[in-house]
Amino acid sequence: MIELKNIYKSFGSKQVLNGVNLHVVKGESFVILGGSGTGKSVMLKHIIGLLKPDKGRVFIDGRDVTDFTRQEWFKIRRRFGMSFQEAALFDFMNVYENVAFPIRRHTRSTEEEIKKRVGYCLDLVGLSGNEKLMPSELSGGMRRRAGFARSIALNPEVLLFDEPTTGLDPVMTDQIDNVINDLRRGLDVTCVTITHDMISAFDIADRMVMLYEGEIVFTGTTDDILKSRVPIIRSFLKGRICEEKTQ
Amino acid sequence: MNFLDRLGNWVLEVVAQAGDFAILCGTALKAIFKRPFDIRNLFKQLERIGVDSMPVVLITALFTGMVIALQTYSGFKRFQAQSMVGALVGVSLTRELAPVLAGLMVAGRIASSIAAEIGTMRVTEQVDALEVMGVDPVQYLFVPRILSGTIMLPLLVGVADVVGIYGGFFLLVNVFGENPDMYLNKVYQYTNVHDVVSGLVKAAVFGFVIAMVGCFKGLRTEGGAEGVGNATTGSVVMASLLILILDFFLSKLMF
Repeated sequence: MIELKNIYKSFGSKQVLNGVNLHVVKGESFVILGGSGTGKSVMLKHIIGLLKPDKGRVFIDGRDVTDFTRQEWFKIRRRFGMSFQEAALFDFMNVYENVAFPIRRHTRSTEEEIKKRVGYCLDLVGLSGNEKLMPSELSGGMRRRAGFARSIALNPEVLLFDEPTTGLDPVMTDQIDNVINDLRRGLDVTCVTITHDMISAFDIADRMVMLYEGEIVFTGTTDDILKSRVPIIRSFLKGRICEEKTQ
Repeated sequence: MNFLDRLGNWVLEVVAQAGDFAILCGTALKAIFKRPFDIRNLFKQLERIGVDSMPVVLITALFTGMVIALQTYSGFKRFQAQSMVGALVGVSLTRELAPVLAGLMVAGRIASSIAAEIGTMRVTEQVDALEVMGVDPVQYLFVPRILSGTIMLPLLVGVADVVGIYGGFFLLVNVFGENPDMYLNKVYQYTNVHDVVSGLVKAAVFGFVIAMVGCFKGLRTEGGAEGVGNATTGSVVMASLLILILDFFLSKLMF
């Protein structure tokens, strides 16, 4: 469904992505794993067209979208829902208006239909009854869930999660993982999640890739990664600095 | 890096920014005519840019009218020409001072606030969220603000013209005890429609520039809180300079 072929991206003199190849199959939950600053978010932004590669191609449903104009991307993006690291809720709108925003912009729904849809989305993420709260009044976990609710408002085919559990306590992390799994099962969508949280990755992934210094060093299932003997991956799983690379 | 390198880099940066600004102006102008029209947001911005700026613009106009009257009265009286004070206050306010000073005051208030608002949205990924939702940030964020700036600044300047002229009237009549009819007659006699209309046209251009600069600086914000701070300061400096530069060219064009 989503394919990145030989993607290179640099910012100034810093090479962030170095020939990345990736293939996400329809319906799977795909996790992009990697430490901070390895280029995970940059990769995600290539999938959604917020960044254009210096070299390489991006395909969605077999169609080359690399050179799409902004207007063409606006159309394609309606099939995607993206949840940002800090939720990126509009701070001048309450939770209800945030979730209703994409519905108002892209459909001709009546106020009654919007209310029903917003209620359904908030119910899916466990935020019913918090419609009138402003983003500044929400906890970190609630903010992420409100962001999820907004991202599913238009019934997307693909959900992208940018570090959904970063900065949350373990209980909240588990709750967010459950919400992601529920959303995936309940809505039958393809999920792409980037994270550096191993527990979270194991909870939600069908398949995963690991990104290290702009290159993919592993592709496989959760079982495969546990069996891997590659030092970088072993170190990452144990949460230690990879000595082979640092020496 | 030597002086010439630095100068060269600075020139390149300024030219690149000017090009970027011009392209974004074109994109924003095109976006005005695209659906959907966000009327609710437009009214919110009309209130914020126009109604909320009223006190500061009116106080500026009142005291500007009074100070012109004060300075010219003491000068003109030396050769018995105090009857001409009304003419000078009327012409200078409508042609120049009301649009330029109102523009500068609104630039300080609004360009900075727009830049801070959009800049914060940029660094907290709210602008990316708009893009991802298939909403053009230029259409959603720029259009209501530039329309409001272009509509409201002429209205503010129209009221400022009246208040400024009244400021001069108040000083001459109530402080210096001059004849009120003399002042008003000279205002009517020497201030013609072209003076007023040209001032309002300038105000519309300044209103567009103020909102556009705020939006531009906000959208191009990089980094965190420091980036927002830089965008805010930069927007006031850029808007103020553009107002003063454009004022010269518009005056040359219209008079």
